[in-house]
Amino acid sequence: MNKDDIDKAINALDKAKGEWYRERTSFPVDFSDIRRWAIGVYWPESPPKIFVNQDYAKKTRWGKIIAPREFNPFAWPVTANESNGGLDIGLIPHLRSMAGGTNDIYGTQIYIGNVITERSRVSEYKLTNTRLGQTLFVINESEWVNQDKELVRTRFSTGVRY
Amino acid sequence: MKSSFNDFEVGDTSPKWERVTGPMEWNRFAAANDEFYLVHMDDQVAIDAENPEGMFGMGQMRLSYIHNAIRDWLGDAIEVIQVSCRYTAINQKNDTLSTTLKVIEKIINEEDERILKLEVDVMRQDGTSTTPGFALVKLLK
Repeated sequence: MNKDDIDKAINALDKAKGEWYRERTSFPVDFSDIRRWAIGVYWPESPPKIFVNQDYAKKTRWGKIIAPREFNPFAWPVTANESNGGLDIGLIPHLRSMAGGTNDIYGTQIYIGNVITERSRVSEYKLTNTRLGQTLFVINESEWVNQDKELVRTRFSTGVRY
Repeated sequence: MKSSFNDFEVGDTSPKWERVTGPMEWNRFAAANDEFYLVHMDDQVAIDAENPEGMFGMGQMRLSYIHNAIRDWLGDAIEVIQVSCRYTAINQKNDTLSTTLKVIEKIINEEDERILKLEVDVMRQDGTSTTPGFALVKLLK
């Protein structure tokens, strides 16, 4: 990362830091969305019945199918560029990127039919030297609420930019 | 299956949760999560991005593996209230990834909720730690 890249990145991050500036709303969560997610993350074993068997789910404390906690209701938007969950990638597109970490704090469960709204912001960043050279660690905060304004999840995701 | 707070002691560990991972697992996860970055799909792109072994797995999939290990150990009545992890090493093609959870703290909070704090990680077959962190899981009383 050269000095010009660093200056551009810091400038973009300083402008964005702390400001909620992206909001998006999911399609209603479908049973098939949950089923496919559960099959995908448990492959090649079968997923737990709580995610795929409505008769079983009725008998649990939840009374119905729940989504896996880490389920993403924003997959497959009609407009492709809305699928990018990495906020800082849009802010500083000329740097390489990799995932550094995830800190998820969960609220209420996601159920079939829920509509999730997300807002995101740059929470903090730091510039440091690593084996990759000068490296930016950018923490994005994204907050999800359901159609009843109940908190579903707050995610702090660390993007490593170099 | 143990599910009550009193069933657990600090130091208890879960059974090992394990998967062999490669394009089949990554493609299924990519399809579910709409996560189509070429470093996870194309060997040459990944090599150009400085991973000589070619395309590699998603960090988010390892987060899912941690959730899977928690659910398979503690059952459907639990509530995972936090998972925090770092992606410290790459999941290479045909790695066998495994997760073993360890109770590191038993918490009764101000709302009288019973919570286990777990040490979490996803290990490669050679013992490399790839996803160290912790989880907080609320149990039934």
